[in-house]
Amino acid sequence: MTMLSDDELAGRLRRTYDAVAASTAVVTPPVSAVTSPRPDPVDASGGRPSAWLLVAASLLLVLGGVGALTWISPDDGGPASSIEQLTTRVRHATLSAIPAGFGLLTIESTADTDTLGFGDGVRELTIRTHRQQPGDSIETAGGNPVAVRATVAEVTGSEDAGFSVRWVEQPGVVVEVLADGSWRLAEVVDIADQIVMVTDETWARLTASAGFATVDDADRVVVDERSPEIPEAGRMDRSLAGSLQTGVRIQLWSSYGPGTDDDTRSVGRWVDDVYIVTATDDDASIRIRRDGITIAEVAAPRDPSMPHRRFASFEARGLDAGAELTVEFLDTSGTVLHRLEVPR
Amino acid sequence: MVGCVSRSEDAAVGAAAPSFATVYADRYAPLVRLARMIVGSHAVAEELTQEAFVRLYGAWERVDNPAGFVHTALVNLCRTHLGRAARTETRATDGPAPTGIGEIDETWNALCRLPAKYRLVLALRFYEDLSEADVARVLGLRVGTVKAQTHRGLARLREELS
Repeated sequence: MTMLSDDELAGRLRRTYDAVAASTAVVTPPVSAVTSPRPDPVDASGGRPSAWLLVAASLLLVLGGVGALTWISPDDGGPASSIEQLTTRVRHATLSAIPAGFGLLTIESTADTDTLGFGDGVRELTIRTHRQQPGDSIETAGGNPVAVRATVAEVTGSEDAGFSVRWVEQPGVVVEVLADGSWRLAEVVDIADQIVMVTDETWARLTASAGFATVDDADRVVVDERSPEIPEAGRMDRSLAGSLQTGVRIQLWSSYGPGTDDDTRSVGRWVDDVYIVTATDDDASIRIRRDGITIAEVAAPRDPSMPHRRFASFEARGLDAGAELTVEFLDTSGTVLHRLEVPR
Repeated sequence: MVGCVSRSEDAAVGAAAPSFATVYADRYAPLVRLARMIVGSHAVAEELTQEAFVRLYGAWERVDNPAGFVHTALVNLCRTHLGRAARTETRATDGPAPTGIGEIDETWNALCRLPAKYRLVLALRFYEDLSEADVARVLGLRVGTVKAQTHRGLARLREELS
């Protein structure tokens, strides 16, 4: 057979695509096929944690625009639209430079395990985990390793098959992956790039390649407040991460309290109307009051990876701009131990 | 025929923004075909396209360019699918040659044997006729990477056909 030139091959390829496309009969299903609520988040997510799992550690509260309250909890259920919204929120994801190359890194999360998949070219993989304190930057987390350090050496994968490594998620734990390999210069900017991910109970799936990181199903990604300003559209700088490929709009979290000492309580407003409450081990529950009126009380479960801390979260949507929230920290007897004002 | 009009184009002519149903009706079939060119399987292409529209529906209020959003979502889904299929060695194609035309079917079957990254780049480059810069933007790759992968993809295809 005569060797085809690139142009001849491209022409043959175009003819093939056109012919196959013409032979591909497509019947468009009714639009309801993609607009109807999905009955089971587990099934719909292909094995990712369900909405119930995502909110199991804390009770989330949605405040309606006219003051109506809707509780979303593992037990009482909630509106399907709200559940869907919860499954698409990633509350804590921070990454740094991303290695390039097609499909170099993928993360797939099941209920308690992440699977890291690598594509071709990776020869050595180092996984380090660190405990992440609220407000920590990547640098400080990286300098404080408290967990395991594992090196997977001489990892070889076929060009297309890749390989995978699994670890068990721990809330608040940074999983840092350093990959080194024989990438060709055309496909990667630097070897030994670094990817840092912070997992918590709302961790979803993250896919990263070539300077992009995509948090599937996420409508927002929260990044460190010290990160440089993120453009609203276009490719992200390699020093940061986040994806606009799927329309994800990155938002810096707007504020965060100190929250690093064991005896410090804080309330952080992450994105829009989502608040994260950092409590101490003395606090059993959190009461949210608006203009002096109690509107909700949520449990403050202990974080297994941070035994002296407790965390709660709530979402306040639709409040007037001038409304003020008060967050009270209560012990098991209901006594208010501490009170914080949260201006909106 | 329902036309595909971006929201900005709508604004330019003073028309109402397209409804989700309009975008869905207009873009579903072309996107299924695009997905098939990438993943090889008609059935998988339909599943991925529906998933892409589910995501568009979920993000509808925040999306300025619905057609662009669903296109990118679909490409990402195809990429994820191909990566997963490669790792689990479960590459689904339609099996028999699709058209009964010798050269076409031979090329298609060779195409389906290529590594995923090449199929993705080649489909965007030669089916969608995107420029290298546009392919790079869609995939989040550098233009040099797209050029290299296109070249290698064609080389691999040539090997498969020889």
